[in-house]
Amino acid sequence: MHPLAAAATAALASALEFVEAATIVMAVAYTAGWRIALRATVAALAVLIAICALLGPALVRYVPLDILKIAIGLFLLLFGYTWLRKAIWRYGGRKAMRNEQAAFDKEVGELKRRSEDRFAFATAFNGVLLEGLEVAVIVVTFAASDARAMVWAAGGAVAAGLAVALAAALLRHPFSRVPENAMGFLVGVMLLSFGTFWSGEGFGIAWPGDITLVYLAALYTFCALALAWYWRARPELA
Amino acid sequence: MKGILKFVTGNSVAAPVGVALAAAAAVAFRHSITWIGLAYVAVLVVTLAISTFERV
Repeated sequence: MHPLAAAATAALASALEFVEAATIVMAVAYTAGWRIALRATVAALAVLIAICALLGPALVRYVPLDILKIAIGLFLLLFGYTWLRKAIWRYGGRKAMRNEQAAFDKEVGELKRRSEDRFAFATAFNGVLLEGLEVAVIVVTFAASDARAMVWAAGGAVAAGLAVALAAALLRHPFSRVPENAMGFLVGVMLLSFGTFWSGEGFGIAWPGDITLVYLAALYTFCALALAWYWRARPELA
Repeated sequence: MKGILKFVTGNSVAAPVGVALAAAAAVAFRHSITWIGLAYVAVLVVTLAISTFERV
């Protein structure tokens, strides 16, 4: 597997999750001040980095490779289904597109209702930690599959996280123009492709080389687009 | 426990069941180099389709 693929998947997933986390952090900054929001963000990021640093190398060292491939693959498959299914639902009209402005307004309303610093800190901390947890698991799974991929996947995730943080600091406004569903669709396709490839290898499938990943991605993209088209054509079922 | 399950499966029943069936298919076809890959991928693709019919 080319390490760039790991970096791209982690970066896309990270960007998407941190866009949602940034909405929560900005809502906290708007109501309780930037100091609390940033303190909570740094604390949550420290926990996420610790999870990646501890779990990644430990998995590689103590779990046999075949079992690891199956476990990682199955995790990625389940995550991939969640991401891609949501994107298909949104393209197909079964689920509303995510609206960052509406999410921001809802958070601000809740924070104003309970004007406590402790609650504001917990909101920002939980927002960053929960949104980032999936990215951490994705980075750890890439790390467990290939030692080089850890650096690339973590690098991709950190770069995307920093880009989102920089944009949030400059704009100081929820991101309403980010193509979140298209990004979610891509992440879903990539996670399913990697998950199929690795778990398949673990079960003894002899894929015809790394090019299989491209074929799998094309297959999942085609199927997902067909499903989105099916749901869009049948609004009475949605 | 419920929270972990929701985190991993995203509230889908079809996804974990489909993944388990794909694993079973891979084990069942383990002696055929041609069919093992096809059966595995086919079950996973059908699982994706079925999972979109679940409750939003």
